Amino acid sequence: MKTIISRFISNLLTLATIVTLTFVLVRQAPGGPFDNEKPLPPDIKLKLEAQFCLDRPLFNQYVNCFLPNLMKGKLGPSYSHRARMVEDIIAEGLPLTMQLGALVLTISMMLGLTAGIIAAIFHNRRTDHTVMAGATIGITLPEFVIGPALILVFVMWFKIFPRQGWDSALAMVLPVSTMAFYYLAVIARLTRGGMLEVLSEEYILAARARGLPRWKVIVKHALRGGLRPTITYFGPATAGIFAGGSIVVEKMFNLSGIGSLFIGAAQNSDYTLIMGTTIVYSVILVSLNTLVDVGYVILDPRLRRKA
Amino acid sequence: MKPTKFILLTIIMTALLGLGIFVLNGEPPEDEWAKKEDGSPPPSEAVQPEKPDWVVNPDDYWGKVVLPAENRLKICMGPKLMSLDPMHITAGWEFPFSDVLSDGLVHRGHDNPAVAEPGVAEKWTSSNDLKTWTFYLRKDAYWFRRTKEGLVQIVRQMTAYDFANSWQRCLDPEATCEYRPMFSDVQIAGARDYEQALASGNKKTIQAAFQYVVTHGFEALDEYTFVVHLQNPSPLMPAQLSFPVFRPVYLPVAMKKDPKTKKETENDAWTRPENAVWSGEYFLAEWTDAHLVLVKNDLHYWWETHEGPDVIEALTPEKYEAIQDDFEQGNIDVVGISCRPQGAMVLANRDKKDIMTFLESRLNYVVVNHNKVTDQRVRQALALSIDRKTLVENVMRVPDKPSGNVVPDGMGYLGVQGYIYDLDGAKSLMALAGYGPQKPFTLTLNHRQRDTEVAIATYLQQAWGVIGVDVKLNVLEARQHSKNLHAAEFEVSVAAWGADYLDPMTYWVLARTGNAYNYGRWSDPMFDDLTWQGFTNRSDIDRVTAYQKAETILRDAAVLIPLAHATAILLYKPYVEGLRPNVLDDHPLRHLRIKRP
Repeated sequence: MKTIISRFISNLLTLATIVTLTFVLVRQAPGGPFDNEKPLPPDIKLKLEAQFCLDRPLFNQYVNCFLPNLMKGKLGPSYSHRARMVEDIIAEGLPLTMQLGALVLTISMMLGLTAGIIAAIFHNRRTDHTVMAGATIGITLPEFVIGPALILVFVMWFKIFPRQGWDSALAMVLPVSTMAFYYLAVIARLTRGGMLEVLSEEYILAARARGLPRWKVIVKHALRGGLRPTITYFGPATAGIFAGGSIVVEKMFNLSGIGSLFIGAAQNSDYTLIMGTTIVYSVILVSLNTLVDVGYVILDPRLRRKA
Repeated sequence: MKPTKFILLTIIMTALLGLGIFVLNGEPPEDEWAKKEDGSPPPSEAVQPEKPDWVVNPDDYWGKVVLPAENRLKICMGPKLMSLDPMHITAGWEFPFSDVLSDGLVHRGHDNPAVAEPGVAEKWTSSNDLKTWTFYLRKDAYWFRRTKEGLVQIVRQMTAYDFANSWQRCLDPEATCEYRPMFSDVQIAGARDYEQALASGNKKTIQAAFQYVVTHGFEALDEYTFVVHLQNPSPLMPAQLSFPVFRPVYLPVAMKKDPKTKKETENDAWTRPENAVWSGEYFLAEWTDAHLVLVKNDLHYWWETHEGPDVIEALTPEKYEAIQDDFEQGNIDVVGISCRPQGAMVLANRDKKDIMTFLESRLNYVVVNHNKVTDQRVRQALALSIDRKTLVENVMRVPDKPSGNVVPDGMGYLGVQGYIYDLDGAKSLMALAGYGPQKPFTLTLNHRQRDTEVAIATYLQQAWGVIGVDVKLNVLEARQHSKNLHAAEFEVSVAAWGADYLDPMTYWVLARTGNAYNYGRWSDPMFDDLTWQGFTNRSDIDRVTAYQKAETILRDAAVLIPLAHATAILLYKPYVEGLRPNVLDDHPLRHLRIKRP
């Protein structure tokens, strides 16, 4: 209980630090939200700044405008979409980002684990080399290379998938594939490495000597230990996928998730929307990290005893 | 629980979750390209006429042509809409939507935007001196509300008081009506003095000026008679009253009472589909960041004599490639009303029948800070050393029109001789000013990160280098660039400008003393007088003469160096009617139709 409370407090402190730093830094960037291409009449610009508390000193803005609204769960109107509240805009975009992340995690885990196990089983053979070559490519090539290449081949040449959108299963294939490549590759490599280490252990040799079928040796005896590096990576992968990892893909495929919102907000100096998306990402990141830590404790009896 | 079981359970749960999401999103829409086994297209989506009168040869069209089964038009929305409140609309891509949601006194002429067509005002008269305009409102213009079930309800009749109160709302000293200066541009009595009072910041003066403009500038004589008083005759009347800022709003929803101060304040959320009361030909049924749906308001008077789509759907493909892809695959019917297709693609397909290009008002130019580049000879040399044809065709690679004049064709004005490409002349001027390759003049050129501006800046650096100007490029983020321009914190800067109305004055403001758009802070009283004379002159000949004299002064000063006038590009399916090329690039949605054979 003590651990849980202290963990909760430290998470709150982390969130508070992120939010405060973002609040300060975003207002230091050159150009304000009302510096449009066509200049506003000076009196209107002053009124808009007053309306959004931007005419006050930074500390005053934070304490008297931002924090009271945040405590009420309100993030205010978006500067660039004044008819809409930030929480409504985020609520619109969050489900898509979560769906995208869940699919990426599923695909990369399933395929990555499978590939890594197969590569380990067929160690030093053609299958192993092929899988590892693919993994190297997946790790090396960034999303902004993979994505356009997939679009060129499957949208422009073969016209199999739509260019953008998220309204059908077909439309999801390319964005998910683009994002999953990297994580799949990392998981495959980690799994292969872990399995190879375990497969060379004496107890595995003993199990095989006892005449156990190969699949039983792998699944029942090798897998548990072999997946340890992958499980360790599960946490950062999840955090990376859900907490901002989809920004490039959302922009590339014109998906209306919070990644796209974040970029748009940054481009428009939409301070309230930047704060909103940052808070959402931070909460996701901190929560996932906590969940992963709890998972480790469940998995590893040594950590349980320590806790 | 044993760790192995935990791991396996996690994997299985994650897989099931992913599968569930995948399945729940349903089957993909029936593929337009998919054919049945016998080769015929699926019947539900594609309706091909037996004898199409506009699809003779598919090779004539760049995009796929498939007549929509429903009376539903899909257009590109462009960047995200910031606001649909007429008082807050500033961006060109918002205008088409506001135009059909909020009805105004008049509309821009469909065939000639300089001419007004009746809107809520079915007719109007003017006094002999053109300073008093009387608008007679029709009695069948209403405010409408749309229920959750999609039914349209009449709220009440529109009256002249709606116009008077809405204009007052925009002019209110506490309001943040971004296009408020348009009242001064149109010469509404007292508006100019009011702008000056606001600039002074003196509260008493502001209140006095405000009271004057709302009592002397316009008035509702009765429910159906609205009178506008002008300080001077204006060439913008009455067509410019179609501008969004002059359209009324239904004040009981557009304003709200602040619970703390008890004062009436703006209700920013009133334009949301669930809250809005509109007066236009269409209703807003859905509005998200990427998607906007307008539904026909059958009770509006327009539909008594006109036809149009039942639904207009606007989508936001943010990247140019996506816009073109969608059009090419037949997913969008019109591109260019609210967003801009890619110029390079158009150049490659200019002969296709579904691409329309025409000159529009947008000017790409270079603004010179008069206080930093003080030698007129240097400024003139900069202007003369640009090969605009090469710049546009080979560097920018867009179908724009190279131009040495600030004002484009189509504005009802014949300009003077503009800048030509004269490299020897430029070098001579630099030599006279004491500069050359041995003693270069140093300059910093600001520009944004946009492809076009990077190309322009790189070219200018090279072109000006030939005449002995050492150019340092300073690339800035868009808002920082705007901020620097507005604060005159630059030496030379790439800039762009679009016209707000059909008169050269919309360009002269870039150089008039004290105007916010005069980024270079140049000032010439003669130029100011001549442009004002032209703008307030009733005689077209005298107006043009005054403007030409002013333009000569501006050209010689070389504080604005025009580069090119943009070419608007429309991608449109052959079954879409109602698009007209015009220099304002204005394409009212109310005029669009899906033509069926």
